[in-house]
Order: sequence, then structure tokens, then C-alpha cells
Amino acid sequence: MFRAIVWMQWKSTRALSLLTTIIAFALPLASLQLGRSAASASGFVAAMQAFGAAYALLAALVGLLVALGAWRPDHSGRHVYALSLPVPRSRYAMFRFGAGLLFLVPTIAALLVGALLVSVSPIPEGLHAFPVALTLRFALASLVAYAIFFAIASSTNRTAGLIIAIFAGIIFSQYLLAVFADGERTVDVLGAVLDFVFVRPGILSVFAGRWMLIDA
Amino acid sequence: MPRAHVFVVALLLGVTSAALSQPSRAAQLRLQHARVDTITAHWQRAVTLLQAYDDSVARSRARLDTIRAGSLRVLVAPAIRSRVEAFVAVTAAQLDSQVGPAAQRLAKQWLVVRQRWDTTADTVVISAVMPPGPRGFPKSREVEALWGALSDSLVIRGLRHASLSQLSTEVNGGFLRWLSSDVSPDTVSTYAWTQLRLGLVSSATAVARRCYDGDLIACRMTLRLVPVLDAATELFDAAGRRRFVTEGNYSPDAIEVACRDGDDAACLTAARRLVRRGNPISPTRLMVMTATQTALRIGGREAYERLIRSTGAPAQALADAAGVPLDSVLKVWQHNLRETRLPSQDISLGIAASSLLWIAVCGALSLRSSRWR
Repeated sequence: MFRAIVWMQWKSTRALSLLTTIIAFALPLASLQLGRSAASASGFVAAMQAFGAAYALLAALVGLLVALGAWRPDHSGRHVYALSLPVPRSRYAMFRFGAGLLFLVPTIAALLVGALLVSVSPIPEGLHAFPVALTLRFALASLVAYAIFFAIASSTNRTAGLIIAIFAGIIFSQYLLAVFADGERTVDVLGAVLDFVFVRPGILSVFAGRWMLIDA
Repeated sequence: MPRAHVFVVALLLGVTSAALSQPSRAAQLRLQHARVDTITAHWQRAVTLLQAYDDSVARSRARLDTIRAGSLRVLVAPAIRSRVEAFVAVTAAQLDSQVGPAAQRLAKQWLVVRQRWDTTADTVVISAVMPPGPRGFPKSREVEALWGALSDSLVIRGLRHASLSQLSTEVNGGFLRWLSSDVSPDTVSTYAWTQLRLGLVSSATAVARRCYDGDLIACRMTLRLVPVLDAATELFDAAGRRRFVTEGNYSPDAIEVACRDGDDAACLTAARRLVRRGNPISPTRLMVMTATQTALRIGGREAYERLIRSTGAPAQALADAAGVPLDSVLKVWQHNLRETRLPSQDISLGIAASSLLWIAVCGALSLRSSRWR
């Protein structure tokens, strides 16, 4: 059954997976190209740093697309196929989760190959390449994104709406607090929430901080 | 003279003298002014006396206690004595381990920890009392080192900072000018070494890059431990000169444009002009600081004392402090520069653990979903 699910998922995900694989391979090479145009080693490092956000965004995008692709056949078929199977729902969801994980692998592998190619290319003296560390972080970030979106996609419309409503409520309450603030005594709700989310061990902390393929 | 005439003259004289003895209107005014001045003077004196009294009361209220620990002598306001006392001992122990016997020189000086009169009771000033002497100030003087809300970290930082500042005043002036800051015996952080390496390999000067490659003479020049007569030719190669002249120059004149187009003679002229104008090609503070700390580290406990006793140029002072030839100091400095590396910031056990935790949580939530119900 797992193979059947993988096959179904392959059909719904392959195009997007191919696209993200190509991007992941090209990103390190593009960052090297930009870095080479810098006049000094510090300019090279700055170019690498500029690409940090691109790795984080790609990881989030891969996670999102693969997670949505994992549930697309079920959503479009109104879960009839899944309900007809003689397995508990949790086991079925686990298969779906595992199958989705497989489709993250090509993108991660492509990033590793691209990063390794950059690390064996000539780089300014005094700088060091970290291809494996960057790839590991990319893998973890894409897995986190995948797990979050997989959980949201597997939930009911009501739950998904609730999550969106909570975020909207936080932003709106921050707006109200800013409007009715008494002088400098503004309560930073959004900042606290962002700290909770992005500062370790927050759920998205793996995305925060520097993503450096080459550093001093 | 008949008696009647004498009487008239006497009468006239009497009237005149009486008239003269009466104050005129102007004189009366002067008299009143004088009285007002006297009263004002009395009032001012009274105010001064009152202020002096108030000050003496304040002083008597703020009498300082003395704490001695190791070589440190600290005057502290009684109200905060209990909070400060433990940290004085800690600071003394730290100083002893960092600067060794040189710490004894602090025994003739005073540090003061007191509350500010003009702010809240929680605000303290940590200051050093500079002793009179040829190297210090002509008279004893209190130099504020740090002030802020009383906290443990402020007290420790302030005491250390003030002590090391005091000790730095004993180091020869030429060395301090080269260092352009106090002498700090603290260990250089790995991050500082990586930033220094990045700065060195990114430098427009050829000597900095040669130094990174292991050329100790170039390191001497990079650190300005030898005199540089013509920076434009001694520090730069042609490419570096061009970069030095053109980088960040958005309104080049004719010579600078010629330099940008590859005319090295123009680059030489422009570079010399920039150097004359004081464009910064001197070693960075981080470079000289790390070199000093390397020398102190090599020299061990006695290093700081030897640095204070050294009267030579910065190169000699570094060698004296380390107790080894300058090239040995530079070799260690250059080795640290090349080899001190931060681990990758991309991944750590913390990042991996928190990510795996959230993956597991989200996975578990998706298994429990009620979409089919």
C-alpha cells in the first residue's frame, strides 16, 4: 500500500519536486557566482550571507509544496479511497507522511551536490566552506516546514481556519495596542509571539539566523 | 573785631557746618545702596554657610567604608557595602590571575563605589582615584569609570574596568598610543579571531595578505611595529593601490579616474594624497589588541609587569612582555589568526533537537486529525 501511495504522490508532486531540485542545485552555484564578483573576502562573505534567506525560503517552499502534494489526491477524491482502505486513519496518515518525506530527498540531495561543488571551487583565502552543515540545516528546515503544513493540510477546515484566525487576531491586537498605546508604554504582543516562534526552541527557529555556505 | 561780628561769623560757620554735616540727596542714595549691598552680602554669606552645612551633612551621611581584598582598595558607600564586598574579592582574585604581580601596583590607588547624589538611590558610580605623580594627573583626581543601575554584573564589570584602566596608566605612553586603548589581558574570543582574519584577507594592503600567508616582516608592517615611510609603495601593490583609491569613491577627480583606468602612476599620486589626508590604513584596534593579548598570554603571570617596566617602542614592549623575541610572538599570533575557527553556525545540537521535536509534534498532530469524522 505504501508503494501505491508513493506512486500516487509521485504523480501529483513530480513537477514541483523537479523544479525545487533544480533550484536547490543552482542556489549554491549562483551564490558562488555572485561572491566571485566581490572585490574582497568580506564582500564574498556578504554575498554568501545575502543568499541565506534564499535557502530558508526554498526550504519552506519545498515543505509546503510536498505537504500539499501529499494530501492533494485525497482532497480531490474527497477521501473516498482512503476510507475504503482496511487500515486505521493514523496508519494511513503515517504512510502519507513517509511518502512525502521521500519527495524531500531529491531537493536536499541536489543542494548537497551543489554545495559540495562550490566547496571544491577556488574561494578567497581565509574562508571556509560548510556544505554538509548547510545541507543538514536545509534538510531539517524543509522537514519542519513539511511537518507543519502536513499537519495543517490533514486537519479539518475548521482547525485550519482557527490557526489563521489566531494569527490574524495577534496582528489585529498588536494594531489596536499600537493605536491606543499610552505614550511609550506599548505592549509588543507580536514581538513576543515572533520571539516564541523564531527564537530557539521555537517551532520556526531553524529558519532564523545565518545560513552560510562559506564563512570566515 | 566787635563782639557782634564775631557772633555773626560764628553763627554763619555753625549753620554752614551744620548744613555740610547734613547728607545730600545723592549721598543719601549712596548710603542706602551701601546698606542694601551690606544686607545682600550678609544674605549671600548666610546662603553659602547654609549650603556648606548641607554639604557637610550630606558628606557625613555618605561617609565611605573601606574594603580591602588582595591589592584592591575600595571605598564604598555603607548602604551598598554588603552587595559590593563579595565582588571586590572576586575582582581581586581575577586581577591576580590575569595580571600577576602587576596587580600589586593597584595597592597605592583607590577605587570608589558610591551612589550618585543627583539620581535614584539605585544608581551607582564606580570610579578610580588617580594618584598624583609624573604619569598620572598632577593632583589626585577621581575619574568616573562606569555608572548605572546597581547590579552584580555592573559592579564586577566596573571594578575590573576601573582597575585595568588604572593599571594601563602605568604602561609607557608610546605603547598606549600604538594600542589606542587600555591594555586588556582578557582572552581573545574565537569570534574576534575570525573577524580579524576576515579583515586581514579582505585588506587592500598587500602586506596584510602576505602576513596571512606567513611573512613575519609583512606582519610587522601590518601591525606598524616598524616605521612605514611611504605607505603607498611599502604597504600596497599596484592592484591594492587601485582598490584603495577607487573603492567607495563615488566622485573621483581626474587623477583618481586615471587610476581607475589602470594608470599606476596616478594611483601612486592619489594614494599618497589619501594617506596625507589621514585615510585609515593604520592597523585596526582588533589587530593590535590581539597582538598584545598574544604577548601577554605567552609571557605568563609576569608578562604585564614586564610590559609596564618596558620603556621601548611597541615592538620591544611586546617582546619584553612575552619574554621571547618578537618574531616568536608574531608566529603565535599569525598561527591563531589562521587556525582559530568558529564551528559552522548553520547547524548545532540545539537546532537539530528543537527541529526534531517540532517535526515529531506536528507528525503526531496530523495522525490525530479528525478530518474523516
